[in-house]
Amino acid sequence: MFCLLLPLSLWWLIITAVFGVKAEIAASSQTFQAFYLLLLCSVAIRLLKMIRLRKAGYSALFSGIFLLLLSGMFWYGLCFSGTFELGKGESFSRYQSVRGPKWGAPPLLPVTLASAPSQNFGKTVIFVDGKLKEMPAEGHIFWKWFSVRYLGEGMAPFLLIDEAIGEEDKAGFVRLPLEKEQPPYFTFGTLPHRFYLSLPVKGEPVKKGVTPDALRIRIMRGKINVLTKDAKLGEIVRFEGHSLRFENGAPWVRLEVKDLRAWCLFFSGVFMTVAGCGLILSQRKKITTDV
Amino acid sequence: MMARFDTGAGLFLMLAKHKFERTKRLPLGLSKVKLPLIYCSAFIVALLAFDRPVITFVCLKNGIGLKAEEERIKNTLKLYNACFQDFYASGGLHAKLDEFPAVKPIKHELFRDIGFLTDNQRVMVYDSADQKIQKLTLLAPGKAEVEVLEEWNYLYQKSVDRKPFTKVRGFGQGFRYRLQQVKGRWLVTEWEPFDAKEPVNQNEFYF
Repeated sequence: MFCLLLPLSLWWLIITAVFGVKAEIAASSQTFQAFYLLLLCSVAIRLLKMIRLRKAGYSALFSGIFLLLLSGMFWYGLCFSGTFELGKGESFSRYQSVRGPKWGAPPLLPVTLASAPSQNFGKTVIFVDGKLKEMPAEGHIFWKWFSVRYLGEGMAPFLLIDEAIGEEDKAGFVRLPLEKEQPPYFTFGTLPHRFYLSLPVKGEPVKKGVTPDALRIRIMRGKINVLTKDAKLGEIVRFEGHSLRFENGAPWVRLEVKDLRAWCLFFSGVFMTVAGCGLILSQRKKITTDV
Repeated sequence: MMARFDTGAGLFLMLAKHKFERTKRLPLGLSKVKLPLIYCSAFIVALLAFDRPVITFVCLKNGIGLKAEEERIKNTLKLYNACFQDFYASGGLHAKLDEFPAVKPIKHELFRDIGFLTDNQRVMVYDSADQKIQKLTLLAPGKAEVEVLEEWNYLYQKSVDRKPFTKVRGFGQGFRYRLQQVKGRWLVTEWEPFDAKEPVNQNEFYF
């Protein structure tokens, strides 16, 4: 066991502490993963042996180590964390950003936003798997192995291109970025333009849940900056034979979901290891006293 | 029996060596030192054999071979812009499509723009005046982000007779490119504009 643990520990320490590379990259090495799996098997075999010999202390200790190793495997390969954005009445469809899992795909969450904090006295109300749950601004809720946390609220003005009301590909709600974020771009229908919407640089702070009076609209096509303009609510902006304007919109919230399976395994592992050590020590003490 | 399981899990060489030492009745301490060394050596050999991208990334992160890799990335961006110019100037000819170092969505976006110009009976002629790399970051094995200050001149021509109907205009714009290595080749996967700081010496601009 020690022989397998030594190269793993050395690799981990050298890569992360000496070379300053992220732990995730150190763990992405195939050799590391193979040795890790061998170590896990080796611990499992020891555990079975201890159970067969009915040594309670050692069984607990090895099961603790096994769970700790398993939590590492879950942390790297199976757990994930991600953010997603929902408007009122909108159901989860995709992640905005997601980290992991390396093996498999992140699950689709049965979450629908009932109301944003600005509409419900600072509380986010969501339907999770058909059940209504309230989430305070700084709090989070649990569902199965996941924790869902509120990250922020923004506004999504209603944008119309060429006054195309009712045409889905040329009108819709566009989410403004949260404070200090770079605006992501979006496209409309077959137009080759990239649209970037953000708050004006020199503007008054905007209240939550209220469509701002003005927006900075930036339109790019290819490498060319076609237009950059601070447009007012309802003002028609013209660009390359097309027109655009924005109207009152709706609020949206950003939520974060975290997979907690690795943490559950980790804490169970710590508990079992400590319990195992305690049992071994108490048994040794008992033997000494008996002698 | 358990030691056999430990040592014999795929590492036959080490098992053989260990057994050999045991049969020779070497002092216990000596084999205890040698076995971990054998495992560490096996680990290193496996790393070199199967984890080249990770090893390369660690080396690059610490400056080993960084200049050569940076040069490859810079050349990729030069090629990207050269192909970009050609696509527009030719009105969307596909001759350099395979050479163009970009992923499909980028190619689609580019040709959608060329199609838009064609529908309006226009051809756009881009000319890259300069491109200055401001920041190059290696994010992960085979992934990089580059911030470039680019200077371009452009004009519109009529599709029918290629006569210019606008003056030559110039602009400087910062672009942040994300690149990924696919089968040893760097490809642009994303780009976005950003407000780049202009160089102190303004005379370096060619407008």
